Amino acid sequence: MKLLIKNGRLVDPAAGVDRAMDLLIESGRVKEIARAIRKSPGLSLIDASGMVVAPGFIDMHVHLREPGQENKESIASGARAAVRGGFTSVACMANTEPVNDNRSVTESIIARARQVGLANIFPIAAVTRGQLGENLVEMADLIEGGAVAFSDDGHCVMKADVIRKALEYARMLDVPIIEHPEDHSISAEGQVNEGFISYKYGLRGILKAAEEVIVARDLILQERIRSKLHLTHVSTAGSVALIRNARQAKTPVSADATPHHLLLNEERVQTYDTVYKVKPPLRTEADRLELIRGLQDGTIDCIASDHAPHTRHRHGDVVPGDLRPPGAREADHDQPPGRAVFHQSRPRPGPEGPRPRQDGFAGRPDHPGPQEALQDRGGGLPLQGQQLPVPGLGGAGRSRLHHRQRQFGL
Amino acid sequence: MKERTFRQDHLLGIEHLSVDDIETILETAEAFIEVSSRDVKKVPALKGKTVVNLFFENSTRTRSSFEIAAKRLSADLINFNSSVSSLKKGETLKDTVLTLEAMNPHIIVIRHSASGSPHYLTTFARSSIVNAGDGFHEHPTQALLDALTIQIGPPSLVPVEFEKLGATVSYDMRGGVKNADVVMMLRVQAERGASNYFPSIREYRNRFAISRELFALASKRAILMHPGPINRDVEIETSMADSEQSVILQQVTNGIAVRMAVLYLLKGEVHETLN
Repeated sequence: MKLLIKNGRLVDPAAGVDRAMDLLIESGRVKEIARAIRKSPGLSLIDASGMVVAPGFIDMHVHLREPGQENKESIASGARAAVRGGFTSVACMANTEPVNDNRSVTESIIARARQVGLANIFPIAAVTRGQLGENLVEMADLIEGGAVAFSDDGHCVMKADVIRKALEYARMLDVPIIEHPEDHSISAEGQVNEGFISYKYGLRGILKAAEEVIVARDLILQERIRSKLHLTHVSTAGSVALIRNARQAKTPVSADATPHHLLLNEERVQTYDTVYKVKPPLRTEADRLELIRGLQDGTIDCIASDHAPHTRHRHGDVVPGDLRPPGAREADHDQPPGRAVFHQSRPRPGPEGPRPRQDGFAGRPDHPGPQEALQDRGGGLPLQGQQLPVPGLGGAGRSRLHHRQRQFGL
Repeated sequence: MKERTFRQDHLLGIEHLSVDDIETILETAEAFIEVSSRDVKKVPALKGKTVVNLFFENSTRTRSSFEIAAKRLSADLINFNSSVSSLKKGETLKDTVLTLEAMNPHIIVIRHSASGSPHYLTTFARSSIVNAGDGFHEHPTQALLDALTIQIGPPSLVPVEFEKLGATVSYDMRGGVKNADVVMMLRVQAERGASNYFPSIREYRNRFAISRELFALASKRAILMHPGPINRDVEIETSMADSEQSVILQQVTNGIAVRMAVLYLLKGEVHETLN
């Protein structure tokens, strides 16, 4: 089986490539890259005129909701949404029902992913049993079962002693701990960024400090432990400053930010449209600009979507104030991102990746693209219909991309 | 009466009203004050119209005020009590409102603890929506019957960011009250967790309650306002609540006129019906 992708703009930062190139693919591997490859009989052809051709993107933070909440999303629908956006690999969080805190759940996710086929799915297991923040999961067993990292995402590991032990234990196993930095005692029932806008519109606020005290705590612990710590969906200028300082002090840490925090600010909540209700909340314009600076200077390693669909009656219908549907303590936190965000993410490192098949993507970087894949189950898309700026993808952050590849074994 | 210039479909908050809108409401309300003083307190301005009081929070005085306002305009009014409704059975807010809408009401008056809930209703409802208080956000008919406002309280309840709204924030009662023409106290809303924002009622009373001695600092003809229900000897000393300067009960009477004006301006036929 041969496939020729012609007339596209090949973008592969890891290989330092950003120019018009044709690709010939044979049996799932790139056979030839050249300025112009001739058509020959028996070739399938994709005319990629006006499109970016790139290695498959990786999203290291998604919620596929399976097992347990297939009314929101499933491995099949999530994988379909991912590949539509050019994401050939996603790492899925552990707040399923039951929680992915033991090997059998991890293995069932992998088995289901294999059945579905579409994308590479890497399960992230919980840090603590039941994500209750008390007892560590059987990390070694979970890694053997296929878990690639550990995170209580959706919740913060609130006890400093527990995150300390998790980081120490994970160091032995050389796996990352992904922290959802949020002091729940500060954020409590908050809905939006705390400040003038929350006061004016009568919405309960979440102080930036709710995130920053945990970022600071983990970085202080990490100074000594030197494990693999990743801080996910950081949203404030203060967090960026803390991480930047830690990096300068050679404390090992990596971080991601979401497309919605990079592109939107808190002013969106003025319409009371629940589509903009995300956790952490959209912050101020100053925070947003600092996140972008952090991304540019390498303080923030990558963009991750926090794709987290909710059903419409749990999310779209819910008014932005205090109303929560019965039993929905978990609901309303995160948001599925728009399909268009996929163009914003950086492609994974080049063809030397460890997987047997190579994944690629061809799409128009200036076009919002089809969104039905995410809409079929999720509530709202904060970036829906928005034309996004196309960043210069070429060359940026090559070493960091390699770093990330090592860290997550993706 | 002035030519009707009110062009709003809903009353969600004061923020989106023009000065003209506000003047129209207040002038209309003045005309309705007379109706309430009549022996037969009824005009046919909303005859044949249906008003639904959709209250998800207990607020007896606001609900009664809207009820009396609607009835004095000859509207048919039903009270939808959330405690006996299907919301208890797990129905969503949207489904509840769609069900009510299937009964073709003209106006839905909503009280809900979630900020923004009236705005949410306007995204799908056909009726006129009137906000009768949405959580920490607005209570526009209350604001309309309160003209001038001075808010004073501890910073955990009244963040300094309120200054961006045009208010002067002070945490010193004596300084705040001094030479004021209107002193408006607000209730400590224990049901919204207000009491977690300061150490104790005792300390709050000692620091912020309006007393005779404090009120003496205000201007000579100052009035004392309070939206009610009052917490005697918490934010307001009993002797002050019952004083001549207190217009607290007058606010209740004016509230009916303002609500009549709002209902009328939203769905009333032509203004001749008033005369």
